[in-house]
Parts: sequence; C-alpha cells; structure tokens
Amino acid sequence: MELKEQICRIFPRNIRDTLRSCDLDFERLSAIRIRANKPVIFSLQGEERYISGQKSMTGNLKNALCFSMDDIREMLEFISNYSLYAFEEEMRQGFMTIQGGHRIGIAGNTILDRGRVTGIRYISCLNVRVAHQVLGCGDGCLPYMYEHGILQNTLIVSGCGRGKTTILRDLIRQLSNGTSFQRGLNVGVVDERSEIAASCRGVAQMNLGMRTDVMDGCTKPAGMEMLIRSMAPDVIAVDELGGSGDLEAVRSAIARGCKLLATIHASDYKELTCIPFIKKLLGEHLVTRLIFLANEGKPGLIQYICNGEGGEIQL
Amino acid sequence: MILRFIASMMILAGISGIGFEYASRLGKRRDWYEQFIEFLTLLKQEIRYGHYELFDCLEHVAPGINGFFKNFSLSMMDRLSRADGMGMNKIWEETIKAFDLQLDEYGCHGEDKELLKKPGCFLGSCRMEQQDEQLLCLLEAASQKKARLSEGLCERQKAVRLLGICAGALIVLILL
Repeated sequence: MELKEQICRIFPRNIRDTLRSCDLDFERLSAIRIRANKPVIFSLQGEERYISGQKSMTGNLKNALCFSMDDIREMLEFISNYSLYAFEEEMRQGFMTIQGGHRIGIAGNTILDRGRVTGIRYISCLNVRVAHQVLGCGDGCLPYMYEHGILQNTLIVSGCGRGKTTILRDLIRQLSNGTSFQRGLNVGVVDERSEIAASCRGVAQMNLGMRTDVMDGCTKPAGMEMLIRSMAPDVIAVDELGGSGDLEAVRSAIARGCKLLATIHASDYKELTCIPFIKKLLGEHLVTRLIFLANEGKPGLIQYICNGEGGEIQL
Repeated sequence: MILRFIASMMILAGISGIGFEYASRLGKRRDWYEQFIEFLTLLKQEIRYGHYELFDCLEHVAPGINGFFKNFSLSMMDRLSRADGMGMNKIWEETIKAFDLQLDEYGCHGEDKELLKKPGCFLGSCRMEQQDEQLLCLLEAASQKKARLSEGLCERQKAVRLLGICAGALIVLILL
C-alpha cells in the first residue's frame, strides 16, 4: 500500500476524500498534528498546511478545519484496526504504530493505578510521525564505522525528528545485505516501538536486508537477551537507547561478541556525555563511533563523526 | 368428487405444512442461539488469549464454525478489510442488515436481532478487561435465552405440528 493511502486510512471518511484528491506532497510530509478543537497541522519540512473548510488544503490558518473529540475517537478506531484492546500496551506507552511504520503519539487524560499509568482516556491529541525509508541514506556513515576492517560499536546521535531511525534502518539493511567493506552479517533488531521494521502482523514492512531478524514490540533488554540466545546475531540494532536496564543489556551483548548499532537522543557531544548511561558506555570504551546528525537543514544530514573520546574522524 | 378430494388433501397438506414449518423454526431459533454462543466464546478466546486484532480473530474463528456465523464472520472481515471510513458500530449494523433474510429464516425476532447488534457497540473500542466483561454479559444473556427456548421444545414442536394438522382437518371439514 502506498504512503498516501496508509495515511488517508486513519482519517474520518470525509477527510479521506479531501486528502486523496488534494495536491499534498506526501513524500515531504513529516508529521500531522491533530488536537481537539484546534486546526489539524500538516508539517512538510518546515512548511505548514491545513485542511480548509472547502475540503482542500490551504496555507491559510483562518479557513483551517478543526477536529472534534468525536473525530479523534473515530480516528482511534481506524488507527487500531477496530481493535483498541490489542494496543493497550502501546497506548500505555503513549503511541501506536500503524502499517508503514508511522508512529502515532497520543495524549490525553491518564489513568493511574498506584502511580503507574494503566491507560489513557479522553484522548485529545494525536501526533502522526510519517516514516520514510530512504535507501542509501547511510552511505555517508558506513566507511567511518570500520577501523582496520572491523565494524565498530556505533551510536547515531541527534535531536528529535532529524532522521536517526531512517539512517539506522538503512545501515541495518546495508550491513545485513553486505557492503564493500564486509560480507553480509546477521543483524538482530529489537524494535520496541515497531518503528524500525514497521512490522505489520509480524512481517517487516521496511527493507532491513536479507539477514535481519526482528524482535518486535519487545523491551530492549529482554529483546536483546532473547535474540542473542536464539538467533546468534553478529550485530544488535536498537532504537533510542536510554531506558532502565539498557546499559546492562548493551554490556552483556558486547561481551558476548555482538556489535552494537543504536540511536540516542542528544544534540551534541557535550549533551551526550551528560547522560550518565552514555558516560559509562564511553568510559568503558564500549562505544567507539558516534555519528552526529545536523540539527538544522535536511533531516539525515551528517554533522560530524567522532570516536568515543570525541575526536573527529577523517577518512 | 375426485377434484374435491384432491382440493381437501392440498388444503390439509398446506395448513399442516405451516405447522411443521413453524415447529422447525422453533428448533432453528434455538440452534441459532447455540451458534451465537459458540461464536462469542471463540471470539472471546481469540481476543483474550490470542491478543489478535479483530480481523484476525474473525479469520481464526470462521473456519471453526458452521452456519449463520461462519458467513457473518466472513462478511464482517470483508467489510473491515475495505476500511471505507465507517465506525465499528455502523459496520456491524450494516452486516446484520445484509443478513436480515437469513435471520428471518432462523426464526429470529426483533429481540434476537437487538442482542446480535450489541457486540458492535463495544467490540474493538474498549479496553481488554472491559470488553471481556461485556462479552461475558452477552454470553450470559444468550445462554439464558437458549435455555428458555430449549425448555419443552419437543413438546411445543409436537403441539404446533398437531395444531397445524388439526387446523387443516377442521378447514377441510368446514369446506366440505
């Protein structure tokens, strides 16, 4: 199913028709923000568009169409394929992933049980983050990830929405299929938020290469442990490190001979080293390559690549 | 004389037939409830223990059942896969409408159709536990209804058949 249809399917019937017939460039679409009684915002790499009352797209905020709580409730039915109960765990974490790997963040009134979030009611805000697979976007990083022909444990670092996951996805594909530097490797992917592989009914929607095994919807420590035991991966790839238990899991994976390929949220080296978990990883020389993406300009742009000590690497 | 005899026999057979048909519908309605309970039980299991999406649950349930609810499940799957922007409640109701004739053949009345409409109000739009409870309530209601219909079913069927024959004979006698 093409990107346009994947996105259209989550909207109420009348909006679907507008989106299908409008001239919106879905390839440039990065996010859609829906808030109850507020205009729906379509973000296209710096530009904002709205649905007008005349059932077309507009750049004018005055004519922008607002969604009601009922519209959002209806959207949730479509997002969950009429199966909200099957997304309870994801909803507890505040997001759902739909076909195509697009992540939908949700916000509303949380239900607490002894301080623990057990669900969300009165969902009034949705954030659709549109996933794009850009084949070859990791080409620029790949040569820097090797030292004396050996793949290094690598972290891709950037702020939010700068293309970390897209680059990670492409690097997984290239390592799995084989590169000019190395034959194909067995890659184990722990896809906690179903964003990397975009698995739909257990099958990866994104091209992650021919030697990739995906553990979908599993926490990173548990998934890494299971993959190492069962699939014997050469490389373990995970998205957004930083949770509790991740440090031990990474240590354990590296100690058992796996290479690490992961992303983490930080804007520069200074900010990165302020994260205690990363400080330990770097201090123990477990991570030896850091790929920083630019915080401005086109997403996926590499700012610089350095080693674990922060020294910039030149080829 | 022969014509009179043939006409009498036709009237007798026709009116008795109505009695037999009604008796058979009494049984069919009970069977429909049995199928409904089986359908709900399997659906509940798939949702509770399989954690599958509703489409997959119906896909898994359909091969294991026969009769009305097999076709109903397949039709629901078809409508769900089309994803034409309708809410679950509407899809469920429209599927029931499409099966209206079949429901009549099973001798299902308004209250039976109302009961069948209920899953459309909560399936897929509630949390797991809430949905489980709703399904349990529905199963309970269907079981009670089935028990009521099963009570003295044979006797009622016999009575209706006999009534048909007697009514036929009476009309023949009056006409003769």
